[in-house]
Amino acid sequence: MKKQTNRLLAAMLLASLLPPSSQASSHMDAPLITLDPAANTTDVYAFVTTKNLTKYLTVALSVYPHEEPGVGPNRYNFDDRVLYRIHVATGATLPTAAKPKPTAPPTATYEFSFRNTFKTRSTIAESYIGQIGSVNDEAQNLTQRYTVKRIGPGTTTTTLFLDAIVPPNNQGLVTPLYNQNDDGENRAKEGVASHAALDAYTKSSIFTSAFGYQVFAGQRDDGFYADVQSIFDLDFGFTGPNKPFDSQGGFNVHTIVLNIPIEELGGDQQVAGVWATTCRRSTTTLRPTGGAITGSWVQVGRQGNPLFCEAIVPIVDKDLYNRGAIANDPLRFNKYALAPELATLLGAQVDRRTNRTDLAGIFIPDIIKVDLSTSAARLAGGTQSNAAAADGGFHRLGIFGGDTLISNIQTGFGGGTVPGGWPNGRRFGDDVVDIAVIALLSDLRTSPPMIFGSPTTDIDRVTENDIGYNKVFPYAATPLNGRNHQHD
Amino acid sequence: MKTTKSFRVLSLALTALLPLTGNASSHMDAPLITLDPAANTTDVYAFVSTQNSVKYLTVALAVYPHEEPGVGPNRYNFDDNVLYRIRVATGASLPTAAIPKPKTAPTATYEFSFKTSYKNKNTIAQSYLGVINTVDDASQNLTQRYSVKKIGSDNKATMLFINAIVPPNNQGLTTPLYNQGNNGENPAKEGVASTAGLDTYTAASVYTSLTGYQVFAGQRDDGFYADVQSIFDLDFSFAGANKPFDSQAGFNVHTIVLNIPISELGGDQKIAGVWAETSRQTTTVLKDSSVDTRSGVFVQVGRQGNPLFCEALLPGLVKDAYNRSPVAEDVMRFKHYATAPELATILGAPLDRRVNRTDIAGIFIPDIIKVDLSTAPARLAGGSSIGAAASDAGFHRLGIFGGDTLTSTVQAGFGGGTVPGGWPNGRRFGDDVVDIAVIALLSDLRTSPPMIFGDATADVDRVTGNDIGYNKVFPYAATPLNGRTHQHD
Repeated sequence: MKKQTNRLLAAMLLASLLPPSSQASSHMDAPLITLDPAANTTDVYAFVTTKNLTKYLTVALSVYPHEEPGVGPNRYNFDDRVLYRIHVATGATLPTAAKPKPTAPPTATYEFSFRNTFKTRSTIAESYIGQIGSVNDEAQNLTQRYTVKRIGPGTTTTTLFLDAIVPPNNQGLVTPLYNQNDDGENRAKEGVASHAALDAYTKSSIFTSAFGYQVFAGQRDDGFYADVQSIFDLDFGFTGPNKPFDSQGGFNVHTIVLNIPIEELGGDQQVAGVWATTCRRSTTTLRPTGGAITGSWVQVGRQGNPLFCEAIVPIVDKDLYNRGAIANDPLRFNKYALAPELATLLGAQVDRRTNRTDLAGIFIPDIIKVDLSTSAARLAGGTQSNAAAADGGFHRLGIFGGDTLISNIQTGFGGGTVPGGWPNGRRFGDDVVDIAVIALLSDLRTSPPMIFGSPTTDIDRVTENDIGYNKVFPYAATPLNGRNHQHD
Repeated sequence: MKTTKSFRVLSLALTALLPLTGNASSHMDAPLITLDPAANTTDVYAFVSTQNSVKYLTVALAVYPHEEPGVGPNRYNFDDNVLYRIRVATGASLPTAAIPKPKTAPTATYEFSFKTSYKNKNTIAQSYLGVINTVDDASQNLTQRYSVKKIGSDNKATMLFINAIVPPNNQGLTTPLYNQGNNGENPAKEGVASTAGLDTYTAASVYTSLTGYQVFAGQRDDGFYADVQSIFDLDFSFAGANKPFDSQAGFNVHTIVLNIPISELGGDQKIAGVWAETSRQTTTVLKDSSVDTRSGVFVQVGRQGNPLFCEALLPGLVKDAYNRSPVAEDVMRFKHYATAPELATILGAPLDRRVNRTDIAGIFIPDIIKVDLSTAPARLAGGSSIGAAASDAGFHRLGIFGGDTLTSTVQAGFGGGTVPGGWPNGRRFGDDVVDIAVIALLSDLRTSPPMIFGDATADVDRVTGNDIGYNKVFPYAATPLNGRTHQHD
């Protein structure tokens, strides 16, 4: 077990902007949802960006943990029967521990629904009929289209996008343009810093609405990185001959990314709460031919902060977490955040194992809080050759690495200083397992707080993603090539 | 595109015992079932074996394609809500092209149903609470138990096993006994040639019934090997900078293995037809409060007989229908896809081998694996990795195309009772089904003598062996790969 090596003194309480615990982000949490990969959320992202002087809240939802590139072009897709939702609450609609059930629904709920089509169903080649020269050309047999609706304020429903198209999964020779030098034998293209440099498939799958929204949905590299194997293996040393080991290295996910113009949320002088849910129709009737799916939508999965369901909620309540409403979080789950079992597993000091009001402040209710008043978040790039470099000042540990932003609306740690990444929003590249463990081993209840470690703290010995992130929309990295990718 | 390199001549027609085509065995077939991994069958195996002078039909069903070792101890399990079935039909109950719907039910249907329990639900550690020394000890938090029921052709049900236990998934340090030197830092143990050589988790999870059945259910290495990536990539040369490439290397599956005493099937002077089905109850109602209700009869959602049928022969239009429909309808619904296989065209087969493939239809229609029970036991695959038990002498991954044959006392086969040593006479662990299928497709088995593509060294997809040696004793399937150290291609 690591020992407390350094105490950073911050001038003010971390209040409600810091994290706990460790385990997978949400790649394998609760028993029921693990059997339903297309509805199984892995990660939710939310951060402030700017583009052409317009300010956005960028939100993203990833599903389908551990897609092995190259073997599942027919298997790994969004599910037509799942309703994917991203919720954004501000002002009086923002759920808080004191008022977990606001009287008004979230400011905006974005609903994504997909529809699968095939150009020909008379072939065994379900996904690729030939080399895809452009998205949805004749060679892309399986094509998913999707609709994006906004619900809110109130029950007002607006269709933002109709018949947006999902680009192909990255197979290899049939999808050359995803890969370096447009050659399907090469690895996937590294993250870029300009829209013009995006691969042609991704670029042509970004849609812009009349209101200035931008959307992308499709296969992406899994941007979460961590040694999950050791955690399940109860090895909190993260050492041994086979380490370090990024359990997500070499795998893809399916990701929806939405750029929300800040004015759509009523301006930037506020904090937004972001979470995602996946729903299925209540009743499924199977028949040898036909069958029916009917009834209202029932929430089967959800996610706010990384790690909550996996690392904080015990088995007895994991399924209930996925089914339950945010409004019930204080009642049902506050006790788990206050006395996190993981603090004991990690060997935290005895007085840091109970009464963790600091951790409950982050996770209860389980929404990602993003301060919209700051300048744009610093973006992660990559250190691989050809990858765009991270923005100056970006740090994987966020505030624990000195990466902070200035708020106009909260004092934060003094003078408006708030974390540059999770738990103020969550960026691609935030090292959420390390941030969580640092928070857990720290004591953020005192003033000044006692912080475990230093900006070089490296808990699980995995400090970056297997491929560089894009620094332009859709931010998530290029999907790895089925023909050429590397697992740890 | 490969061209026909040589034609070997066999003296008799291959009749109903040969294969075709190429794609995954069944790792990613039809749209609906790919979204339901725990019910998604990857492979069915069936072969004759002996143990202590008793002759068995060994059958196995693998599900849950591409389990990444180490990340899914909570994720990769059998599903309590799925009924897993293996069917064995003989004599008058054997479906044939002429009589696809026999009057009697299969000789034996084996039903496997699972129940998951936890020793402690008040922890975030779902699977492992510490190092597991013996199966189901206090450290194995998540434990699955299962029952096995036999339903006879008379509809009479017999309980064969109750509360049999599934051993843990191979995580690493918490499951050391699966791994070399009983050290969780080492790769999984190679295949062995004696029961005494099995790892202790596996050995402790083999159950024997009063009637002589043996059963095992749990995580295993995926015994299927092939370059599936190239196939989806429409690259039938299987060449290039990143090849050869076994798409299944480094991944596990969940596997049920059952040893059926031949006497339970009425003796060995016959042919058995074997296939598997997965079913879910008709109606599922999801509830916000987390306690869903399930009701109604079990409806088939997945099935499999021969490898590759659904993937490589059936077009997108009917893939889902295949999984939902009974074997009895195969002739009516699917025969034309076997007689004019699209893949023959894709592979560039000679024009006359693209249509009227009665030879191919003879294997796949109806889609059951036919096993001649009258032969000596099948030769078993071992492995070529260091420490692995060697394959039985005469074993060949190409089966009959590699000279690996058996002698039947109930059919003439290719003369003198000569039948294939592996698929499509049964299917063994280690059969190179993609290569066998492509060879069959590029061959012409309608003529006498048949014209055979390639020779015993034919290597279509350039993957010729599994990533870990198979066991040569029950449960035959190989040790599950170690989450802490395993290698993907």
